[in-house]
Amino acid sequence: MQTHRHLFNFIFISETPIPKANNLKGHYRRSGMGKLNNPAKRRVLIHRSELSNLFPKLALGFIPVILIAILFIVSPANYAGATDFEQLRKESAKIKTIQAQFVQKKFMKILSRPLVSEGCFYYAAPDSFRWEYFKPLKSIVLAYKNNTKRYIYSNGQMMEDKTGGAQAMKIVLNEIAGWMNGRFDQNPSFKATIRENENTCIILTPVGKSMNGMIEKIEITLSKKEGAVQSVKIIEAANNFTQINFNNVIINAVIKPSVFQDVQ
Amino acid sequence: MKRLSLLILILVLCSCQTLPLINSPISPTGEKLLTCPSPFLKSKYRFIHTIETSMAGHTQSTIIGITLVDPSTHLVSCAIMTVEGMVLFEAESGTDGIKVNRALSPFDSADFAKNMIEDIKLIFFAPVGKIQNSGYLRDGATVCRHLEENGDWIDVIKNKSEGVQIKRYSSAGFLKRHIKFKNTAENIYQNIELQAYESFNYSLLLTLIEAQPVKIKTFRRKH
Repeated sequence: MQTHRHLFNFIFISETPIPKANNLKGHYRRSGMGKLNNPAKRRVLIHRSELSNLFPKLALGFIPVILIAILFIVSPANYAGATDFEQLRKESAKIKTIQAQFVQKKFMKILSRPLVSEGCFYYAAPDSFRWEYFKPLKSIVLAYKNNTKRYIYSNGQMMEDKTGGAQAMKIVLNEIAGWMNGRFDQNPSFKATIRENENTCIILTPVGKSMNGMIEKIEITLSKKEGAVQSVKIIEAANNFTQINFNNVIINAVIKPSVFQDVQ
Repeated sequence: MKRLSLLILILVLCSCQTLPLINSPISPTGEKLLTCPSPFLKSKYRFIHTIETSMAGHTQSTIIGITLVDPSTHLVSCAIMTVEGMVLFEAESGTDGIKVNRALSPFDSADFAKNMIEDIKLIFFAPVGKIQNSGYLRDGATVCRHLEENGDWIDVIKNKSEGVQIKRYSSAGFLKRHIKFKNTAENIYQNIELQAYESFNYSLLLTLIEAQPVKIKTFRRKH
């Protein structure tokens, strides 16, 4: 049986992950390029419908993480200098809507300078959001009443990403629901700690398998002066992290429902 | 039933593109005038592209691809990430072989890394194999045919109407990859279309976000 040799062959055939990426070189040396015969590698058939859900999970993987971080954005007076989760819990319950602009910088070893993306987001409790990139590639994730869609600019128009699946949507909404209830330190996916320096820093460390190998930790910096979230840093690995800086943050302003439904 | 299977097999074989005949230049002067098209890199570069993946003509998803390529050493580093910035795959290929630094499922197959690096090399690097034949195709396009070490054939083609193309054929002569450089006016790597002919055909459309020449560091001896 052939392994998935090219980008799309994985639709039908998949393998269990290779034990350690660093060991790949060893695998090649022992078995020769393209002739991997390691018996430890179990090859399994996965149905097309199941695999179609696999990629969107990854594709949207950052969205719940970013949203979790964003939910720390609250009114300045209440949040400045928060030192315990009880206080955060109380304040988060007051958030009905959030909107802000952001500049995202992707740092990687392969890049000599960060890849800069710009966009905006809107959030309305309990589970509506719009996460939009203006550049370098226009894309939008919309969630409204249990319906999540992802659009990407292609051929002069916004095209719906058809690989988006119910699984990805569930992950996103479950995370949001948990955090909106103010359970910052009770989310099973993350262990949260607060560090007080010049600014307040909340560190989220993934626990369990859901984020295993994907994210090392998330650092959320709250400005003491302004009280709102200053930045979110998502660390995937050494030399690989994403820094998102927020500006023009508006809390609890009225947001039209169409913002969460219409692409334009 | 056997007849039907045979018919299907014949149809499948007929639908596959095979190695085309090359007509040699008529005169020795024409042979001298024939210049092999070379869309390949001359120096180290870093490229960031959006990559639209399609099957059966329908766009499936869009990701961002980063490639760092050095034609002088044949070193390749590459990464794939989502539009949101999450790195799905990161690997490098050098003299020691391929090293995968990060590979999230379903990009964690060793064959995926190998084939991705091969595709990158096909796009950016001149074929390693020697030219076996050169001349013109039936439609008048200039072509130079290379024979690779593994027996594959690589045709580098220049056609007035369709621009520069690269075709990779298996040793048996079946088309495996077809690369079209769709915009040669500004940057040849502005729009690249890669058609893959596998059990399930797919295509990748690469659109350039950024191209950076990479200066190679030289160390001066202190006097």
